[in-house]
Amino acid sequence: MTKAKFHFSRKLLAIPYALFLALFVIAPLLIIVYYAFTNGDTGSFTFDNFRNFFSGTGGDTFWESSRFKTIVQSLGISVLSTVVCLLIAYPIAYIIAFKVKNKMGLLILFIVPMWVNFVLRINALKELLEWIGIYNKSNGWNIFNTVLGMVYDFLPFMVLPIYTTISKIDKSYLEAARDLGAAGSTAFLKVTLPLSKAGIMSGVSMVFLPSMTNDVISNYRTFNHTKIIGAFIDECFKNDLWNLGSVTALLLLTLMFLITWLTGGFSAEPENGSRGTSLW
Amino acid sequence: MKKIIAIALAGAVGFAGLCLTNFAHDNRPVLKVANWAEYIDGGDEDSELIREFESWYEQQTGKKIRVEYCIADDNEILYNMIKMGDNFDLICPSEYMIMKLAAEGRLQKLPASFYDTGVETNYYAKHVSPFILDTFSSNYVNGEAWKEYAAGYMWGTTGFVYNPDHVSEQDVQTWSIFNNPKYNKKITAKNNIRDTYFVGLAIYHDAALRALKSDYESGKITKAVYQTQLSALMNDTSHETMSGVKEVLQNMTSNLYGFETDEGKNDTIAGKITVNYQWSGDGVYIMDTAEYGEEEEEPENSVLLNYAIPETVSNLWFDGWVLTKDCRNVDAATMFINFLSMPENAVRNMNYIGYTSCIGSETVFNDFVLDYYSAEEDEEGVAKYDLNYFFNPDYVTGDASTASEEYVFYTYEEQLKRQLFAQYPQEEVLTRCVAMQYFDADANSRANSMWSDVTFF
Repeated sequence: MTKAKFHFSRKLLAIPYALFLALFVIAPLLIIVYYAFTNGDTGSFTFDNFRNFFSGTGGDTFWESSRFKTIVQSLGISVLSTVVCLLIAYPIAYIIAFKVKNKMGLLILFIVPMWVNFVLRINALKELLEWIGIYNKSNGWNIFNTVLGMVYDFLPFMVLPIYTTISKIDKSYLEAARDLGAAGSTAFLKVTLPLSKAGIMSGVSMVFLPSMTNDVISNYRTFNHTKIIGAFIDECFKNDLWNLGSVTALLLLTLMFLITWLTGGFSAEPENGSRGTSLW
Repeated sequence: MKKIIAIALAGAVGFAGLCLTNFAHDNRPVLKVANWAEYIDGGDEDSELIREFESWYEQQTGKKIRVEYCIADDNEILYNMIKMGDNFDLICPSEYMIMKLAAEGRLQKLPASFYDTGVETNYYAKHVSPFILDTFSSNYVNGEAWKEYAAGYMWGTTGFVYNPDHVSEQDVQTWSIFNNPKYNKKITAKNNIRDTYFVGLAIYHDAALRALKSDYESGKITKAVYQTQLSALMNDTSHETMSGVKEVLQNMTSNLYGFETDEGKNDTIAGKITVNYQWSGDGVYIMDTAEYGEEEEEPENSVLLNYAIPETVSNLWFDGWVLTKDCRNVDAATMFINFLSMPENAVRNMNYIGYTSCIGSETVFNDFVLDYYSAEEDEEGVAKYDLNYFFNPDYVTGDASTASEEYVFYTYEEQLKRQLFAQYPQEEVLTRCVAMQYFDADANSRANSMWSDVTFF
């Protein structure tokens, strides 16, 4: 009599994640695709939703419509938030990884705010801005405040991956560079920066994507004065325009995909084979 | 297939819907009810009232019942829940959503016996306010009166909660206050299409509304004609009007503190917002909290806020109980409505929620209105207040001989601009308030486009 053997392999550990992926990532995506390509009443196949989306909002062309402007504004806020996050996060991550003894202590400083409910945090920030006197002053300030809110909220997502990749860089590379005559700045530009690229890419996608659609921040930050595309999608679903909302979400997804692809986000595997691979 | 997708979507998107039961795993039949959050005495989780209904029902019929009580965030979410296959028996949407659901065939009519006042337990039919019954009989959906489908639960108006120290009383009488630079960054509108479209219409049609009003006041047209024409103006969704309204709204946005839903309450109490366009029930909450503080204790700086309804027109809204198409237990559902319509239960609900009940019986008048608002005739600064239209079933509008002294009482003059006015406006104020119809698919899609143009700036 042979006994059926259960071979435990490490691959089996991937099953829970695969299930999760299928249920909460793939399935919703398919549903969005379904609603984007069908019409609301009969559920038959149609391109009307796309035509609808690109036909603008009030007799004008799409490129002049508020819908297009909202996308552009969202993109702008997103890019700005990401750049500011990066400019703040990189030096911090670098300092924590290379220059500081009590790494944990400093890291915790960045993680602790995440333990506080984020709606509470942005409300607190609103009160602070009001006290300073720049809350709801003008459209310019509103955009500034929105970016500030995004940076405030997403900064840890930028710091952590960069810190992890930098701290894993083999110090002997840097020593070699210095031995071969590279100045400090050259060594940084030629060694540290390229080797931390994976962390930067992770951080950028962690900040860029959500700051495009996180309308909670723009709502609280500016009392709905600054509109981002996430708010538009939300309104579509609320007002029984699922097909239009799905088209918008799908187009946004495509846009994100293109941006990530063009910036090399999918080839985050560093060429030199260091352990500093993408984290997320 | 559509249903599977819908259910999958419900799981994936996780629309904000929550059902609360008393977790007694038994095989009692279920009555599944959907209502707004904090919209019944005792809150939601352990509302005593719901448990009392279960025992009352058993006592009346000898049958057991278990109420599964669900919370929906707003009309749109409730609509999505129903569309995705949630099998409620009894729901409590607002008037425009009732019309939309009825037009789409998602509701069933109340049984004819529901309005039989001869039946002891028909508390709704016996105690509903004549004003509500009249409104529900004279508004139509699918060519049938609202009352065929809906039993009123709470009702109110929209208007301005304002601080009289900073805002003039003339200004809050006009819709153009939204463009008034005096209140730059001090005034808010609602962050939803319908309420804000109404504001836009009122400003866009201002001249026509004033002409209509003077026609009515000079006696040229009857009240019925006045209200019909008012309703037509305020439910105008033609292409031309909508683009006009869009312009109106685009012009006023830079003057706003912002668009808000609930976030504005605290800022109004704190004084950052001095004019808050608000639903009357929330207006009462804001006035109460500004005056007494959160815990019914006088706060350090008690502020007296007022409520005003503009002179040309305003919005009259209702939340009503309706039976869904798939309602499995019509008997239990109608008994639930009747139980909530018992005057003492209506008072309990009003005390808890702060909104105004559609029940207009003597008990409500004595235990609620007089209890909160009456003053002695010989006190200083008191005024007469007439609520015959709401409480007196024999009252005929315009016929003074049918009015009863019982429903005229003395109240403090300040209440004419405060909580009493917000809860029970005078009859002549309600004459100029209209209900909004639902947008048809085409108007809905255009309104959505208009809204994205307006809110981008």
